[in-house]
Amino acid sequence: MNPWMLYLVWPLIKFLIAFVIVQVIVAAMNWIERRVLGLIQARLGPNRVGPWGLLQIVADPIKFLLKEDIVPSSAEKIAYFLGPMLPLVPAFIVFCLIPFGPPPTFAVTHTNVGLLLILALTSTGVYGIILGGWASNNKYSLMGGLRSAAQMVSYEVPFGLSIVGVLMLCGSLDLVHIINYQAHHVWNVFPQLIAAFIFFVSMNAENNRTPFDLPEAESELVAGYHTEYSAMKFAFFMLAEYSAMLVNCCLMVSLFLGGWTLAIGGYGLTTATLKSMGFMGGLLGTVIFVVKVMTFMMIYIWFRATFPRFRFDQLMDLGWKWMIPLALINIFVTGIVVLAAPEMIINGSVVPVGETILAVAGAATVALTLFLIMKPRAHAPKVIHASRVSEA
Amino acid sequence: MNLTPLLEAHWINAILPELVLCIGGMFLILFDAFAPKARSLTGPIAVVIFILCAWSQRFVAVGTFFGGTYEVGGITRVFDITFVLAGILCTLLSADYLEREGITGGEFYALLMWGTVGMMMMAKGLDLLIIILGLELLSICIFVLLGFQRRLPVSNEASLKYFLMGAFATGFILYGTALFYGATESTNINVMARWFANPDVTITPLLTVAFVLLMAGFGFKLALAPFHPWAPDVYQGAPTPVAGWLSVAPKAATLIALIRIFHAMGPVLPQTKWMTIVAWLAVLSMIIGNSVAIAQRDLKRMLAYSGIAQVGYMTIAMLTINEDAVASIAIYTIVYALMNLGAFGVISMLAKNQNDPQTLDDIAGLGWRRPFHALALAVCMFSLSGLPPTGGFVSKFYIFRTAVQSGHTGIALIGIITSIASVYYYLRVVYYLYMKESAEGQTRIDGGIFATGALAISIIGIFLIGIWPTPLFHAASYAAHLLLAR
Amino acid sequence: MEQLTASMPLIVFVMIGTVAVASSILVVAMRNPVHSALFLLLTFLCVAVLFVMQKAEFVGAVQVLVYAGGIMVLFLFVVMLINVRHLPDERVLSNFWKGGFLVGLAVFALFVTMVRPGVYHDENPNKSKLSTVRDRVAINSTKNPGRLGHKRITRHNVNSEAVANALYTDYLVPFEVASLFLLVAMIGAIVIGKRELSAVEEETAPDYMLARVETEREIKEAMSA
Repeated sequence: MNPWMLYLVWPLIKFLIAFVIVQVIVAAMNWIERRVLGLIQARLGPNRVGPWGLLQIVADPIKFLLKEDIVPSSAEKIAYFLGPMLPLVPAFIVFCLIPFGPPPTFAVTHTNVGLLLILALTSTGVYGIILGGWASNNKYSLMGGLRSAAQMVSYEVPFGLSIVGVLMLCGSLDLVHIINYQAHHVWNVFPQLIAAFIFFVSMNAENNRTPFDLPEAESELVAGYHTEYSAMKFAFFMLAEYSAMLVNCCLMVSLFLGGWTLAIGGYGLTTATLKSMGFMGGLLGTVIFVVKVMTFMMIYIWFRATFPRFRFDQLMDLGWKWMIPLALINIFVTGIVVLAAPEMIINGSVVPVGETILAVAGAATVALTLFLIMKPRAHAPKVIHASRVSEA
Repeated sequence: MNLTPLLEAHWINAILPELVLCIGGMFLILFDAFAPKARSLTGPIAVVIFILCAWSQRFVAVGTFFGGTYEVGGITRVFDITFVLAGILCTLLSADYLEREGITGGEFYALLMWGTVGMMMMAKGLDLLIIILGLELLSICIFVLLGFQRRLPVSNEASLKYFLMGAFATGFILYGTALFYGATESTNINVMARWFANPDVTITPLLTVAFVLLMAGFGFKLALAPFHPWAPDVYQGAPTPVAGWLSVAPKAATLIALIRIFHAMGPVLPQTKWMTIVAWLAVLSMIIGNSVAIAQRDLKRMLAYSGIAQVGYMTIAMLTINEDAVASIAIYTIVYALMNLGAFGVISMLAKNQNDPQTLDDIAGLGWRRPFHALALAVCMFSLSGLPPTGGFVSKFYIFRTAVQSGHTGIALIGIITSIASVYYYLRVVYYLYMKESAEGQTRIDGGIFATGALAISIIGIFLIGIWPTPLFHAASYAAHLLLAR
Repeated sequence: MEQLTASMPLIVFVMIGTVAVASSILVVAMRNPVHSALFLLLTFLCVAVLFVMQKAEFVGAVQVLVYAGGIMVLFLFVVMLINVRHLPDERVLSNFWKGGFLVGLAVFALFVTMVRPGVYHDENPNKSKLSTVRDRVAINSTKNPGRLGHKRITRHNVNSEAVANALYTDYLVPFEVASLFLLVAMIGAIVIGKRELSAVEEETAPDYMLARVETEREIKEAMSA
């Protein structure tokens, strides 16, 4: 095939298709989130435009496009414009690297360090928030940006560390390889329960979702870093945030829940089975993938409706004193188990002893951690009394 | 899971001393944090850890490890012992010093240990990367140790000066290394040696620039003459035991690293002028160090300039790398560690405001007030000036004999002459100790049991090596033989 | 078309290289610290692209992950915390600019002439540099049958695996010491930077911390007595 077709045109077409699907999902997410929140909070949610308010998906973008675009006079112009743009770019590029279905047809590109590149790109998403917060020249925005920077940097560490356990089990940075490995063994969520738990928590924190939504805490900071943004710029922020959520859910599904496959120990819908079904099989895999991803998007919403917001010191405590040590212990234990107790052959059948040990230990640890975190503190920190401060 | 052996057998034994010190340092930090009431025990525990490290030398596996990037042999053992000795002496001196100055912290000893790990890596690294990493680990520990007395402006000044100078020096070394890598296509010293041994090799200006940069960087770390100006200020401001340690151990580590590099370059050295550069550094160090030291009344500054001169002597031996040269440098560093740390030890006991200089007047008439401490200082001064029957005489004699035998008579002569001149300022200390009346408001000498023990160790060591040097000579020569025999 | 395809890497290199150099100059030239930081970010990203072009995907990804994702965020964080909007206007060139310019030019000329053309150019990228990377595989020993021996094979150069092999075999010691190095730097920073608590902080500090401060004070008093 012509190299231009192979390396430029086809990937571009695939990317465009993925892009459109992602955008539709993101726009739909807005409606779904409001409806589901309404459901949970025993109210209606948007139900005026179209049947069940479905046309809200169209109405919102039109509103964003037509509204006045306000630029604060004291804003730092260049950075103010860059702010909403910067997080969009990595959020879109990442979709090139995620295999939605059996490759090569349903994956845009395929590199052997795919996971690392995804991590690298998602880690640059924070710039938009920082810049937007700083450039608005507004105290609330600045606070939001600062909080976001601290939060992102703190939770990037457990986010990355939790993946290491998966890498050690699967022995590759290639998402396709990781997914195939899971289809032939077991979903990583079982042997790597701790990692999945940490990954999920830090994923929430990375996306600034409740209970980690301090950068845009309404009751403290008005709207945080995007207080001064309106119209399409504000929409860009939202777009980037939901895209990032989607990316993280895709990662979660690929790393821990078998991606597009639906198989255990090589039985069921593995990649080979899907490929044997031709294009329809690929499509089926993609549907499985999307269903799994949407489940996690629902969990996001469920979290938002359920949990109260952390205080900032609690957030930092959780990140540095719980998540990072847990992730390190997970790596340590996984390393030992992978080296010392690999698969054993008992009565002619392969028994994944190591993975079983990991699964049991992981469940116990997660339970213990949750218990310790949830346990009420014996000594609540003293509250500063205003008069004391003035005395000091 | 394929459990193929990726590393050489016994690799853990190869890094055992480093492991002991690393883990010991971490243990001390945790001990300090979780048992704050038992802080007075950190010093003794640190000594025990250092002794454990020395003891672990028994189990060390000899050979090259990690794919030829790490060499453990006789000479590294000799240098390891030097580093551990310096560490123990410094710890003993600091235990009392820190208590008197009101500094608490297991971090101090932990940093000392980690610095020692860095030095051990410099001694064992067969790869320029390892040498540089070890050097940097050491440097960071030194920055912090120098600034440990945060309340004292001089201490901060010392830390900042060493930091700025050290950063520059590291930059030079890295640049030189990069250029060497470009020329020889490896950072591994053995591979570089093979490259240099190739008879067709041409000495391009690139290599000369690389060598000059490398020497500039290492010259900073060694306090060789044109790169020495940081030394007096840093020694003066540093906590005194740290100044003693700094004047001894890092220099030894840098020297052994340079010996490896020079040995690798051996085949091409005759056709280059590189050694002339080194010779000039040595000559300048000896002249400047000794002549400026005469003018100093501040004891720490005087010892700083004397240290510059002493490194000059050691550099003479490096002009030609052979067994005698390596052995003489090894012996010199051991003796130097004993006598210089002993001298700094006595100074560290001067109980006065550490922001003021410790001058000759402070020790006037000390011989009659505190005979033992005065005796220790006197012995160290005799040894530093190279008078028999001290270890200083033996090591200095060996160095100059090696230089003469390798045909560097002129430089050796300069060394001997400047060394004679140095007797003046070393013995002036002894004169103040015994011949001067102590002034009014004399400075108290405040030495606890640990510091006195350290002084005893150094006196015994100095005399032992001075009177009966044969076993050490044999050990060092054999180790040097093994190093150069590859 | 064929020619264009063939010279594509060169075109990309020139473009990205130009952007990298230009933005690195702008890092120094900008008067607004945030703008400087942004240009530094651009430089890092361009360098990452250059790495990828040299078939070092791993290094490229790590470059973005560590420098762009971690270090620059911290930079921006600090800049924003200090909240410097614009540095005071001052002359960009100092009084010594002529001398400095000459020295810089001389050093540049020196290195341009010294570096023999092609010194840093390698026909087979990564091959010789990572030639120390080799696998040991267990095989049946030829010398003593029945026992395991091992032989070394040079393996197909997969990027991340090559790096991992180098790091965990030949460069294990520097790799581990780098972590010790960071620990030392962190502890050193704390030692140098820590201070005693002020009155307000004592009001708000948690009990366990106050208890520690109290013990420390007791120890200090006991020592000075």
